[in-house]
Amino acid sequence: MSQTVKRQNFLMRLLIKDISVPQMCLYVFGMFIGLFIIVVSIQLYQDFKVSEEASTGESNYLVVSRKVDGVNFTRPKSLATELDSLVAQPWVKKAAMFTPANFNISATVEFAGHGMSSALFFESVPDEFLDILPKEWRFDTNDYDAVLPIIVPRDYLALYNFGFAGARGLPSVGEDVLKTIPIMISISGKGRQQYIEARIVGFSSRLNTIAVPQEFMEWANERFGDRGTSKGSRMIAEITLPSNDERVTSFAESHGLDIGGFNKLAGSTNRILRIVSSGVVGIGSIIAALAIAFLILSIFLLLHKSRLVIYRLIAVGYHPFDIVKIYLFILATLNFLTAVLTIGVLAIVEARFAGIMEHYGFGSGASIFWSSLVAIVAMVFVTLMNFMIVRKTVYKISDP
Amino acid sequence: MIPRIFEQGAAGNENVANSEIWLQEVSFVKGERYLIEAASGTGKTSLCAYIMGMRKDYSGALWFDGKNTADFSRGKWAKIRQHSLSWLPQEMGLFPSLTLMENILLKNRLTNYLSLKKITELIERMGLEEKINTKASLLSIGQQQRTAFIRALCQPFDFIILDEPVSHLDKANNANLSKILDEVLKSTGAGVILTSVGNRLQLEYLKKISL
Repeated sequence: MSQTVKRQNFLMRLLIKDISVPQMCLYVFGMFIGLFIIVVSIQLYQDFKVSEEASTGESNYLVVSRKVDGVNFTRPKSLATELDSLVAQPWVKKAAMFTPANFNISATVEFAGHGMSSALFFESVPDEFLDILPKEWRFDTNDYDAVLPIIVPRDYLALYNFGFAGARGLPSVGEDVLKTIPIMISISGKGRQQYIEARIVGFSSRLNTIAVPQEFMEWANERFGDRGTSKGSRMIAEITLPSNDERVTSFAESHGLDIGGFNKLAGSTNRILRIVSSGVVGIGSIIAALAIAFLILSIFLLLHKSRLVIYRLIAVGYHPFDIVKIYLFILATLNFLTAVLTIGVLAIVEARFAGIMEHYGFGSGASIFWSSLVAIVAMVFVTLMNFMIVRKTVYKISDP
Repeated sequence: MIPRIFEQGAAGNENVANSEIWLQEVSFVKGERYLIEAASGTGKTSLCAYIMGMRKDYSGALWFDGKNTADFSRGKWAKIRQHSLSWLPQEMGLFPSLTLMENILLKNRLTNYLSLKKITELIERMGLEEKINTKASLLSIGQQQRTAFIRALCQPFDFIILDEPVSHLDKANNANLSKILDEVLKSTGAGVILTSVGNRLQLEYLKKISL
């Protein structure tokens, strides 16, 4: 008779004997499904929130420029005074000037054996007016190898893919491909010239310009700008009204301004998605609750089946808590497995679909930390609940 | 003390009226040997379960070392069952899925009271050495009774409570068991509370109490 066998092994063997493996598998499966649905909805919600935060809330945006009639050879007059009166409007949350580039820019792209070179223009706006904020969105003016991040309008891509590429027999490209293409930018002015590698880092649905970071623009205007100080001739404003509201159009008319509006459709889309995702959380919760109810029922059945064993163990001198500990160990292991399974599958799904989500403009990029935390907290809570039920029942058997 | 089931109409109940335990004040003193004799259905097994704290369906009070057991915690009861009161229930309380040896070790590992050598010696004296690795479910009732008796010895005790311990034993085994019990009682100074309907332990100096 081996003496190395631990006391708990007898207890474990006695108590585990009545556990139904299919029942426990069914519980883990049901709990996993329920928990996974909850966690995925939370993850989706987080992803939407990230994209929503990046697009600064649910406001509408207005791009304002001076009205151009006929052909105008002089540079448009600055909108500095109009900016002040625009900011003074009660429906304007904030407004800022576009900073135009006061130097020459040309870009060269090598792609699929075709070389293309073109004169370009850049503008910049403060980051708070961007609808996306990619992580590459910074430019270190002291770093000679710094890559210049560029945001282009999503419409440009559509224009190229469905207009230009089709007509010229060029390949159409997706956003992800476009982001990998290096663009060589030449900027010149004040008798200086510099080559900078640039890359498209995002596609804006709000700005109809080629945007670069504000810090780059300030540095480059200072170094190469040879057309006097840059006075903005376009402004962007965040407003609380739709851009076609009468108050907005009459303001524009009275100041001789042209208005391009961006009514944030994504705002209402997000709202709908949020309602949907909370509905899904509800469904997930119901499935999880059913799984928990099933487990509780299984625990009761199990304890009922093991009633005599428990009674005899106590009669032999075991403390009821010794028995509770064994059940707790088994249940905690099951719940731990469920949590690990859920988080593991979530991580795989998130990694697999993050790219796709981003492609469709849902921003993604939220870490799975919060969803995982929810899964862990939920399983700790379930384990605690199991513990309380087992303890109560075993104690009831021990004091009849 | 009286089982609740006997309480109604207790005055007219013969079991209660003639009992020296129910509705009486009874003391069990360490070192003494008590034999509780009664017909079946009079509550012997209930009394044993009451003394062990395994059942509480009685009216009255049970005192242990001057303390009312009603105030005892689960932990206190577990300690008493490990160190002060040993119980061989009538239905033996073995675990059918464990072997004879495992059933004994399950208890001894809780108390660490007997050495493996001593346990093996007891098994041999009881004539069970060939059944050491046999599952309890495959032992005869008599073998189960002997196994449960060895298990009951795997702890220190002030009293050992034996509920019909030899009901299924032949004369030789009865004598064997009685001899071992006598040795243990003498060496430890512990007391015994025995119940019997007929076939009883061959033990000397028994104080008889009718239930």
